[in-house]
Amino acid sequence: MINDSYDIIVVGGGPAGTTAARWAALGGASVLLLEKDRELGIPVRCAEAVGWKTLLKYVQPNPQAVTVKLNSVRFIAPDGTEFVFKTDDVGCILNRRIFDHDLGRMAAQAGARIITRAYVNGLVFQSGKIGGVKVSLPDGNKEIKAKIIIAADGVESRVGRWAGIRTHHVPKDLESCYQMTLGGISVNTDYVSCYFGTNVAPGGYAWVFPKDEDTANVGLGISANRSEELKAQDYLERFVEKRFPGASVLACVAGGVPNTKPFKKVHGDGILLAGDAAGQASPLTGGGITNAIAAGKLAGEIACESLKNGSYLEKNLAVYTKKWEDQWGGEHRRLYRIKEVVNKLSDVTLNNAAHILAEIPSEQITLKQVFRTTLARHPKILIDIARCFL
Amino acid sequence: MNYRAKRKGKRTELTSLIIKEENCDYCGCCVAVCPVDCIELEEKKISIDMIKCTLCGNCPYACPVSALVGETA
Ligand SMILES: Cc1cc2nc3c(=O)[nH]c(=O)nc-3n(C[C@H](O)[C@H](O)[C@H](O)COP(=O)(O)OP(=O)(O)OC[C@H]3O[C@@H](n4cnc5c(N)ncnc54)[C@H](O)[C@@H]3O)c2cc1C
Ligand code: SF4
Ligand code: SF4
Repeated sequence: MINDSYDIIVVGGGPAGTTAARWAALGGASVLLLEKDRELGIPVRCAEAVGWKTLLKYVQPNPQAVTVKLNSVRFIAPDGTEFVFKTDDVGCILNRRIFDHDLGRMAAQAGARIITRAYVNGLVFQSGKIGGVKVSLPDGNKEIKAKIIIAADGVESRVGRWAGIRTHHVPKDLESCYQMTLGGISVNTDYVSCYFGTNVAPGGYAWVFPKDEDTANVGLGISANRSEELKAQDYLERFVEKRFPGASVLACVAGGVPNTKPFKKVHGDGILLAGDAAGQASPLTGGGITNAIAAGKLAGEIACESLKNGSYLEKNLAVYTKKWEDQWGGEHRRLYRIKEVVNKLSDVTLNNAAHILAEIPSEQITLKQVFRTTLARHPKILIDIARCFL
Repeated sequence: MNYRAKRKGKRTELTSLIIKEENCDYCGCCVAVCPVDCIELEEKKISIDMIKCTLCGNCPYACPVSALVGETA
């Protein structure tokens, strides 16, 4: 039985939603989480890579949710020139089905109620203020009251829009992605690989993220405004045909990641937005798992706090946007500017940069070195890149 | 100049929009770029309110597969 009223309703059972539900419930609120799909974590619209240290700040993952750990990234330029550089943080490739289930379990343990196959199709307004949600359940439609809504409904977020917050994206700021999990291949589990080039993935990159020596998430994202002729799926089929001919396809999914500037506002009267729904994924890499978890936690905590104070109007919840902005806003903006520059670099420029970097021994390649060397030899890139740091 | 106005100048708007649901993966990219919020996307069901749709042409671009086909004049 679902109650008719809760303190907080969370829409969406991804990492942002389950984390928000967990922290809200831990703070003592009555919490309902509604997910439209029949299972949390499925389908896995994700390449499953996270920074290990960043992840540990927020959750201790179930060991079964971690497949491989690695600490290098291999870049492949349009002409095939490669260079490898070590990252500061160890990366790990998750099993998101297990990982997302686990986040759900933690929320449930904290006391949140989770319902799947619950499609939220509208908000309920009471004297002009949000008072709950309209949900379509297998046995019919229902209206459920809540004091605060946390919109964690992913890239397709509509809940925020119903509350009057602009959450849709211009095509340029959306990565249109397609991914296959390939089996029966041979991959090196020491690094992840990223391929660049207008023929590979215009306005984005292709990734090979190993899950085992013989299995990998192979996918790509293209800027949604650059799909005049070919779709992400077409680019990926071509890529896989070339690099992994004869591979078995264990799964394939389409998906989207926001690559946007920070939203001006991720809160409203009685509503907070978290994760992809708030455009919080990294605009440069498209990584959004830890961003979603971090924002979900903040949203859950602030929602609880506001409930305790009995005030959850726009002005009371503004602290959420402010805290997000203070902690991550600057970095997010910087990554957005870098993305804008990188997407404009021609294949020739990328090749030239890769030729120089390929000469530096990989142990010495750090992000700083990359910039320093490229800048020294390619003043034109210097100008472009300098602009994005201004 | 706002984005849509720019787009109008650059690209022809659509004359019709067709959903090929057999290709759809229900990923939500189309919803994410729809300026008028006229796409309804459930777990395994998609529909577009053609009365609200302005045929702006965003969603066929965003779709990672060939599930939305826009026709231009
Ligand atoms: C192809 C691809 C590869 C990626 N690779 C990586 C990666 O390697 N590393 C990384 O960190 N990030 C990656 N990302 C991004 C990452 O997946 C997202 O940033 C992350 O899942 C965001 O979490 P979230 O909780 O905000 O949203 P989601 O995980 O998208 O969850 C939103 C949930 O809300 C539900 N929902 C939506 N609307 C409604 C509604 N009306 N009613 C009820 N429920 C609703 C959805 O079904 C969904 O379950 C990738 C994304 C894609 C598409
Ligand atoms: S973008 Fe394409 S595949 Fe994704 S839900 Fe929309 S129509 Fe379906
Ligand atoms: S054409 Fe534009 S308005 Fe119509 S459904 Fe697609 S994105 Fe929405």
